[in-house]
Amino acid sequence: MKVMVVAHGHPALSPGGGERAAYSLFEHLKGTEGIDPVFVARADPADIAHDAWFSSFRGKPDEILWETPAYDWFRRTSEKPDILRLHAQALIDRFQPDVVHFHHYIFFGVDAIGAFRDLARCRTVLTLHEYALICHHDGQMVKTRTFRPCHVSSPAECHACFPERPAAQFFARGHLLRHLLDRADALISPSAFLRDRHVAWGIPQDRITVIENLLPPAFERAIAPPQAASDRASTRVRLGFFGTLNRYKGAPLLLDAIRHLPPEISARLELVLFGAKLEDQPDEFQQIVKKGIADSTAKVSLFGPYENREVARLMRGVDWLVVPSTWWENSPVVIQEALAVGTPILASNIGGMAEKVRDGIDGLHFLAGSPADLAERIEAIVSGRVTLQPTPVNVVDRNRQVLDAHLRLYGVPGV
Amino acid sequence: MRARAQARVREDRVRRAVRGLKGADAAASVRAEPVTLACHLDSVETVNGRQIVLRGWAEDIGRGEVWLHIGSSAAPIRLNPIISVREDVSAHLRKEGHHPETDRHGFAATATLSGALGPTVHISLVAGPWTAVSAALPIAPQEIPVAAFLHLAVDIARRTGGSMLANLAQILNALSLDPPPPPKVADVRRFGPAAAAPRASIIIPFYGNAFFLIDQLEAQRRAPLDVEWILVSDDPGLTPVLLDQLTRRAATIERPTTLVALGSNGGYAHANNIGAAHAAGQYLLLMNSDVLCDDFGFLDRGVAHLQSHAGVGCVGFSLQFEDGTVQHDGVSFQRVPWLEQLWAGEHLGKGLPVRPDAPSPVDVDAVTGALMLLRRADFASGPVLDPGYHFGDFEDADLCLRVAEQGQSIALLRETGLWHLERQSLRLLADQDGRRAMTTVNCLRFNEKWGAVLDRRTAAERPS
Repeated sequence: MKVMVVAHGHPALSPGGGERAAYSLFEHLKGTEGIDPVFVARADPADIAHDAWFSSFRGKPDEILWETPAYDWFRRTSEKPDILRLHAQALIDRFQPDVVHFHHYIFFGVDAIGAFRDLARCRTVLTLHEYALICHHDGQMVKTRTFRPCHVSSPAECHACFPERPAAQFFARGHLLRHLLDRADALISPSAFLRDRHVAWGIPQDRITVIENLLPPAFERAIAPPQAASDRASTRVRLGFFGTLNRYKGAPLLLDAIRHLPPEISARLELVLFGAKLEDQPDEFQQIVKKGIADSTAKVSLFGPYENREVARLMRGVDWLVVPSTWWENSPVVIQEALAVGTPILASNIGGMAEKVRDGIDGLHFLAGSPADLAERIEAIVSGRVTLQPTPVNVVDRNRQVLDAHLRLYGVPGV
Repeated sequence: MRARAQARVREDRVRRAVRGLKGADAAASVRAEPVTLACHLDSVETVNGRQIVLRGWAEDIGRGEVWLHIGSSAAPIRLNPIISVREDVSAHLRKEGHHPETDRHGFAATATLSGALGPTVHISLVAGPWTAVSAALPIAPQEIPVAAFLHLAVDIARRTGGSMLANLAQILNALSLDPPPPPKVADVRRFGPAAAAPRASIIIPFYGNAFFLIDQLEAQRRAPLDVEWILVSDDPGLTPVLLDQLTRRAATIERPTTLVALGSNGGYAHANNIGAAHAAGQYLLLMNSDVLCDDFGFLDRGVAHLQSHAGVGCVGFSLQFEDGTVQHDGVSFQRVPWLEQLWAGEHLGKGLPVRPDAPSPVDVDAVTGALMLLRRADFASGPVLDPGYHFGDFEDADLCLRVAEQGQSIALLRETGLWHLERQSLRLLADQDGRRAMTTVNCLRFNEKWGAVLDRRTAAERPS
């Protein structure tokens, strides 16, 4: 069976959670007997590096970079569907897929599902990431003015967030997208929370299967060796933040929470930020983060981005992972990684975070958006009032189950 | 007759007065020697090159009849200005040695031009035997669109004081906003499979933006095979956008689709009428581009209703707003207080939750033209919609009354899964004041045409 995984980016070029999930699926499919996968990732022309719509990533014939035609960020559809079909036809002619599995739809559009299905007469699957079908605000379901989480979308409320667009346009947008999604044979959501949001938005529940994201084979190998004894000299409790340093991921909230701590607690605390893309953020945000680090009473180190192959080692080097996102999240990869390593997690009590981290078992919940509540949890951890040692998830078994669930949706016989 | 003769005498007097001021004729023929009228024009605008809008001031203009002289070969035009208090003008006049008797100097006036505008105009004021004529007032008129004019009219009407609606009606009555002639068809393009004796033609005019084209094309996938689409671009500026999008989606257009591009903006009625002229279906479905549907079962049911009920001349459908409340559930003709008891179509239950137990079909006074099914043969000898209204307002009510006058009834089918995201293009045409002005001017015309009929109907329905 030939499976084409189409993603909104290549994780080597755009290291986001969705891209990593798509690529992990591709890697696992490569190792599956009877499956012949190809990975097609949207890329910038600079990454294509020659005068064509496509190129091979690092010369690999089964990893294709694709300069997708213009995309309508409001409608979530292609602005040039004729060119999109030409591109789709070229990919289909070359790879003859039996299944096209889309991870996300940004950059190519939801209408790409129907285009590939019509042209290839193949099975189509879409894995949902974020809430971009539901919410025009970067797909985050966060209010534009207050940046507070948004619980339900409606044309009138969306219009309130974007007054320049009439409510009718939001209605039409949703109406169109729901019909375009009919062209997908199967929809996958990595979390029940994301599924429920889409069900509330109008997709029948039985159309969406909840299947967790896969972690890469390299991660399976990285955590296989027995854990070496810690060589840390520091006696401080070390909290780790892994991820993008942007407005939604909550790093300023975490720094603010540390400011709330009594001096005797912060003296015993260390925060390590493995945070990427700070330089891409607005100046104001960069200043908030930099000032938060400079003013902190605890030891704070900004390490910048990390290589994916290092993540298991880095996560073992922290006592707790903190996921302080102020938006809902879906199924953060860092949570999956921490669960596999056995690192306890301090997470916001909303959305995909609350679903994936069992309060008191895998970690602790705190009131989303509240630095005071987060500070209380940190104080409890540092003072030793709370100790957790979660049992690591067997990531190999879990990946096997997740992969089988994918294969069943593809229609692979005997799975 | 006597009034007309008096008007002619006054008109002649104004002509001679102006000539006298120019020294081209003997002032002796004027009963009173013309004096110079202190006057200033703040702005001069024209609409469709045929109407003029003047704003300015003239000394004590409220004291008599006001006339506009646009050139030696054109008849002077009697103005019916809206007059306002201008204390600043009084102060100015006194400083210049005049002796104004009132503070009522400001005016705004509109008129239909009787000839070509010259580089200057005169304003005359006739009060009893006394005539005052302004010096030649240089003008550089600015042409403005009708929508802008209507907005201006509301602005003038509001700022003048008194009843805004009365002022507005006064301005609008001074104009003869004749329907524009039908625009020429600039281009016809066909997409998708060829139409072979379609059962129905769906006519969708586009004006202002193409936002909903993608929705309409996507809906084709859910439509019966024997339906054709007639898309009418009533906006030459939009035609390239529509054409581009249609061309880009040509491979996925699954039903016969024709784009009729008009050479100029002819208005909603002309766009539909021209669309109907290009239609081949037995039935015409007039549809706004912002009407969305989940499926086309409503069309099948509407056609079946017309086929089985010869006495029904028009079928409409219940429609919802984006929040699921009633956008359209039939129209009732009523005298409405917000338009000074003029007749207007009142949308029943608009904005309220849909009544799930409401019967269907039902007879109603009228249905919205946003989604309206007709027999094409019924309009073989005349236009579907009256182009005398402006911007897609009242044409549907007018059509329903014409159907009713032919002895046929109007049916409403109550449906689910049909939305009308109302007034998207009207929103582009004008702001709230402009839209109110459009409604007012259309309502005045509607009442002129149908007021007596509706009065008779009401009287006939009243219990004796």
